[in-house]
Formats: sequence, structure tokens, C-alpha cells
Amino acid sequence: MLLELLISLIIGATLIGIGVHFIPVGGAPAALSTSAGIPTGAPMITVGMGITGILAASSVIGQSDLIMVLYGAVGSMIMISVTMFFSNIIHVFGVGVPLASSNFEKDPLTGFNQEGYVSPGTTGHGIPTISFVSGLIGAFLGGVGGSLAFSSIYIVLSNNLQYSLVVNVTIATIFSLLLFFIVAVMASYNIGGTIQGFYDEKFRKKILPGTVSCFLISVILSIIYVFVIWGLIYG
Amino acid sequence: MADDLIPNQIITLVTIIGGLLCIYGTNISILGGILAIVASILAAVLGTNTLRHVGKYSLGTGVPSIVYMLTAVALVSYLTGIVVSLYLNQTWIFPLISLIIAAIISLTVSEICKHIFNIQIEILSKSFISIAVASLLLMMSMSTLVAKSYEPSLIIDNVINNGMIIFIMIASVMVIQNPYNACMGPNEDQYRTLSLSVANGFLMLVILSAISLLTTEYWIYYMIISVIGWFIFFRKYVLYTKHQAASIRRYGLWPIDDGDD
Repeated sequence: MLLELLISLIIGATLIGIGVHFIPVGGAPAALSTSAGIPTGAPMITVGMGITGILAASSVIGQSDLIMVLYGAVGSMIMISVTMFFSNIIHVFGVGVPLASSNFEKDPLTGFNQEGYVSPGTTGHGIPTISFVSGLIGAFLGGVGGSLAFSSIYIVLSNNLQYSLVVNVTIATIFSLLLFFIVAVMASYNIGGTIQGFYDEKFRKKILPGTVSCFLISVILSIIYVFVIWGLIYG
Repeated sequence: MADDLIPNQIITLVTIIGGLLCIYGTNISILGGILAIVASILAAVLGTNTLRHVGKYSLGTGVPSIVYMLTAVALVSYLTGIVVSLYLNQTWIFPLISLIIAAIISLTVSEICKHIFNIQIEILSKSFISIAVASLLLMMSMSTLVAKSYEPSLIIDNVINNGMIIFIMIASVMVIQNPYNACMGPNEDQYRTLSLSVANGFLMLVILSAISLLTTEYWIYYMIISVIGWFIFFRKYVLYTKHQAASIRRYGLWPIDDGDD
């Protein structure tokens, strides 16, 4: 039982770390429309995504594992797509810039040649189609990871402890949120600034060290988590 | 940045020893809450002062994220410390063991940052350990104010099982990272940043002492102390800001015309 918990925690935390790399993050330059991507830092958007995913997963508590995991993933995807959609609306109708990025010439999904639409002196603005799709993939991976950790901790607690349902959900939420906080910041140190999703050149350079480091930190955290949960059950 | 008037080593030493002693004294009936307030103010000062040093370097993402990650690390070690002390049945071991575990995890994180991400900052490990310890002491003293004791079983009942620990975590992130984020720049000054940090700490303690009305009848004294402390230190912050500004001009509300005449 605890071995299964360890494995699912490691898989979940590593999936969160990989998912962060897929999200198109623009940081502060994107808030000034001088860079493409979501106009905030990677840790902030990932923590928001994680909270929404865990909230969605905890709303179907008591159902089977698969449903909880899928609900979490869908919750994260809804959150991130709403964020990107309204960011695009503000960029197009408020700021008045077209959605384009200079990191790639042609959008592979729409075939739209965006070179002429990037303002001189900037690296793009808004979230182009391929980055939008990449953000959805990232949110799916992050949501699956977070709700996998949440549901596995919850199931172990509810099978072995005499606490009420609310307390079990609270403890599982605290643990899975802390995974998001730590792993997302590690991944964003690896990204270092802005990234435009999986079609970006930077993604290919950064994904391998990112996966390795997220795996390492998730192994350490998962061992500590399993130890704490073992202590809560048998201590 | 101007030279530091209080060296970081002295702040670290005073905070770790004084903070631990204050946390161990929180079982005393009315004095306990005051000791918890003292410990949280000391921890806020240590966290912000360390962040001032490491925040000058570019880590690839914003300043708040360092504090977010290290506060999460501190919370993990806090929970581990609770479980260890419950398992060994020794209450006094809980603050000490959490401190040691926080130092170990944050050292591991900083080694990963150094060797895999190639972040070349000499003071990285030291700063990470120091911020993690500071946020751990801050969260611990805030939760002892609510739980009225540092006993792990009481903390589990009053702080963790109702999920208040997440609120305490976000509050401690706010106390540590907000002052440096607000004051950073070329003429950032130690006294100004730290006075804002102490003011923020008192502001959070006002809310926490209102929450502690569930567990203690002395909550009103803690609240009065926190409000007075917030007033004194925020006033100090405003005075330092005025003192260090190049010039101060007052404007009224929005001008009706373009202001040409």
C-alpha cells in the first residue's frame, strides 16, 4: 500500500514538473505586450492550476480513482484555457496587438505566417494557436499529476485513519498543494524566463534537465511524504 | 544598496536561538502568546534580511517564487517534525527536529539548483537554508499563537485538521516576500525594508490573534499589542521613506484640465 503511494507520488510530481514546461509563460514582459505567453510567472499560474485541479478532484470524492484523476485534469484545463482566452481578448481588443510570436515563423496548426505581425523590438504578443494547445497539454499533465497525488493520499488516509472525511480531504489537499509549490518553482528555475510551448526551440533544450531535476526532487519529497503518512497511521 | 547597519550573522543567531526559546515558552498562560508574537517578528526580520541578499541575483524567475518554494519546504518539514515527535512521544523535540529537516531539504534543493540548472551564486545554499528556517519559525510561532502551545497533538487539532495551516503559509509568504518586493531597487535600505517587514508581520498577527479567540481568552491583549506594533512600525516605514526620498510633492485628486496653467 505504501509502496503504491510512493510510486504514484513520484509519477504525479514528475508529471507536474513536465507539465510546467508545456505552459507558454511570458512573465512580466508579456504583461507589457512585449513578449508572447501568459502574462505572469510560471509558479503563479501553476499554483493556480493546481488549486483548481485539486478542487475539481475533491468535488467527486468517493468515486473511483480514474474519475477523480480525470476531473482534476479537466479542472486544470478549464482554468488555464479561461486564463489564456481572456488574456488574448485583452491583448486583441484592449491593447490592440495581433497574436504572434517571433520564436517560430509559421504556426504549424493554422499555417499562419506571423513574421510580419510581430512589432519591431518585441518578441511577440498574445498567445498564438500552437502555444494555446501546448498550454492545454501542460494543464492536462499537471492536473493528472496533482490529482493523482491527491487521490492516492486520500485513499490511503481514508482506508487507515479514523478521521472524518473533511479532515482526510484537508490533509490530502495540503500535501498535494505543497508538491505544486515546490516542483513548479524548480521547473521555472529550469525554464529561466519565457517559453512558448513545445514548438519552441528552447523547449527541446530544457525538457531533459527539467525532467531529471523534477524526478530527483519528487523522489526526495515522496519518501518524506510516505514517512509522514506512515507516521500518521502507525505513530 | 547601502551598507547593512545590522550584520546578517547577528540577525541569524538571535533569531534562531531567541525564536526557539520563545517557542518553547509558549506553554505559559498569558505570556505565551506574547512570546509567540516576539518569535514571529524575529523570524520575519531574518527571512526578509536574507531575501535582500539573495534577491539581488537573477534566479530566472521572480523574487516571490523563492519564498513560495522555501515556505513549502518548511511546511513539509513542519509536518515531518510533528510526526517524528508524536512517534517518539517527545514534545520538546518537535521545533528542533523540524528546523534540522528544513535545513536538510533546502540544502538538497539548492544543490540541485547548482549542479543541474547551473545557477552560479555563492550564497545560494546559505540563503536557501536561512529563508527556509525563517519561514519555518514564522509558521511555527503563528500556529503556536493559535494553538496556545507547541504540543504537536494540540497543533494537529487546532491548526492542521481545519486547514488553517495553508492560510498561515500564505500569510508567512506575504510577510517575508512583500517588503523586499516593495522596496527593491538601487537605493534599497535595510532599515526601511525591515521596518515594513515587521509592520507586515504585525498586520498578519492582528488577524491571527482574532482567530485565536477560539482557543484563548487573552486574545484581546494579543490583538492590542499587534495593532500598536503595526502602527509604530508602519509609521517608522513612512518616516524612513520620506527621509530617503529625493523630494516629496503632494498632489490632490485628478486634475480637471491638463494642468497647463
